[in-house]
Amino acid sequence: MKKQLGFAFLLSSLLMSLSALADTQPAPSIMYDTVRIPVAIQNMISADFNALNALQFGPNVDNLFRLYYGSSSQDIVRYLLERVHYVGVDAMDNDPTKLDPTTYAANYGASFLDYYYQSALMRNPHARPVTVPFNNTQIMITHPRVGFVGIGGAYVNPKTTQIDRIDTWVHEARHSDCPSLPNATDMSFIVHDQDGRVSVAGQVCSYAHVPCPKGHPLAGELACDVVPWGAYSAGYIFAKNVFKACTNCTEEQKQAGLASATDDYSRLFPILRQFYSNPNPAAPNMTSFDARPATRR
Amino acid sequence: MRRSQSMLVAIFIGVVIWFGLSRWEAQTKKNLRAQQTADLQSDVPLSVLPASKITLRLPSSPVKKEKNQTPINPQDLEFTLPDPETYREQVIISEKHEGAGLPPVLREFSQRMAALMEKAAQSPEFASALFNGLQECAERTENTLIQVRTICAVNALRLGEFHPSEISEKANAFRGSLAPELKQSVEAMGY
Repeated sequence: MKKQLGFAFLLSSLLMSLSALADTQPAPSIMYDTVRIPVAIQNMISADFNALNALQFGPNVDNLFRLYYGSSSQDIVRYLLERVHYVGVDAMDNDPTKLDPTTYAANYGASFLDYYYQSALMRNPHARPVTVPFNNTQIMITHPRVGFVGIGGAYVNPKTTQIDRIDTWVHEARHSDCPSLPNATDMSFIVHDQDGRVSVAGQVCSYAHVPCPKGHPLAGELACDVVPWGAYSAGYIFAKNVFKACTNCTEEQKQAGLASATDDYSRLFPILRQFYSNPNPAAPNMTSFDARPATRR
Repeated sequence: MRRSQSMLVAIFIGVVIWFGLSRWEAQTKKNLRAQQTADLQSDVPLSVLPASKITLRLPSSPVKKEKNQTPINPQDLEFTLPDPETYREQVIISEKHEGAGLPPVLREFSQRMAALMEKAAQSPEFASALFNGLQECAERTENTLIQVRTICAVNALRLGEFHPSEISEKANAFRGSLAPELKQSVEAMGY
C-alpha cells in the first residue's frame, strides 16, 4: 500500500512539474510561414509575445480591459492566440519576396466580406476566397477567424518600438472577429461605394474601418472606426493601460503607450468617444460566427 | 524501510524538479527583460525632421535657480511638434495597404517626450520649465494634432504628480482651463 502511495506521489509530483513547465512557456502557438519569414523575425515576434506576457498591470487598470477577457497581460495573450493563427508576409505588390516597408501588419480576414457578398448573397458561382501563400501551400480566407496576419517591413524596422509592435497585434487580432454575418443590404454599400463603406452591421463583421469624418486630419481615409470595441478601440485600451497602469514598464514604454493610445483614440468617431466616456459601457461581443480552423489547399 | 525510502526519494525528486523549474522560470523572465532592454536600446537615432516642423523653444527660464544647481540649458527642453501633413502622408501610405501602427512622426515625438519626462522626474526645476513648454503645446490650436496636444497635456499633468509641491497648483489651474475636445481626450487617457 505504501509502495503504491509512494508511486502515486511520485507521479503527481511529475504531473505538477509538467504543468508548471507548461505555465512557464508563454510562447505563442501560432504558425509561421517559415519559407518567407526569416528565423530572426520569427524570434522577434516570439520575443514580442513574451514581452507582452511579462507586462504587469496594477489595480488601476480600467474596466475597458474586459475586451481581453480579464485584467492581466496573460488575458491579452489569450485574446491574441484565439485570433492569430498564421503569420505570413505582407509583401510588396510588385515584388512578393520583399516585405511592404510601409505596413506594420495586415489581417487578411477583412477580405472575407467581399467573398461572402459574392458567394452567399449574390450566388456568384465564380466567387473565390482570397488565397495567400503560406509555406509551400496556400491559405484560403474563408472567414475572418482564419487568423492570417501578414507582417510588413515597418514591423521589423529597428526604429519601431516593441510597444508599437504589440499594439499592432492587439489591433489586427480584432479584425479576426465577425460576431454576426451582414445581410445583403448591409453589404450593398460595398458595391455602390468603392471606398468600402459598409453599414454598421456590416462593419461589425471583421470590424472594418470607415472613412474618417469631415474636419478630421485623415478626413475621407479608411482609417477610423464608428462601431464600439473595434480594432482601434482594442489598440486604444491596451496602449492606454500600458501608459496608465503598467507597473513594470519603462518611461519610454509608457510614452509609446500614450502615443499609440492618443492616436488610436483620435481614430474613433465622436459618438464612439462618447461611448467610452461612460465608465461602464455596454459589454463587447467577443464571439465570431465561425471559429473553424483555416482551410488549406 | 524500503517503502519509506522510496517515498522519501519520490519527495526528493519532486522537490528537485520543482526547484529546478522555478529557477528556470526566473532565468527565462530575466532573459526576457534583458531582451526588452536590448530591443529598446537598439533603436537607431531619430531622423532629422523637416524644417517645416514647429520647434518649441522655451523662453529663458523663469525658474529660480538654487545654489549648487547647474542652470538648465534651454536646448535641453526643446521638442519638435509633428507636422499634421507629414502625419497624414504617413498614415495614408500605410492605410493604403490596410496596415496599422503608429506613424513614425508620432513615435519620434513620444521618444523625445520619454527623454524629457525622465529628466523632469529627477529635477523639479527642469520639470517646472518643461511644464511651460507642454502647456504651450497643449494650448496650440493651429496646425497641431489633437494627439500631440493630448500627449503634452497629459505629461504636464503628470509633472504635477511628480513634483506636487512645485507644480500641482499650476497643473490644477491648467486642468481647469482645458478646451472641451482636449479635456475629453485627456480624460480618455485616464487623467
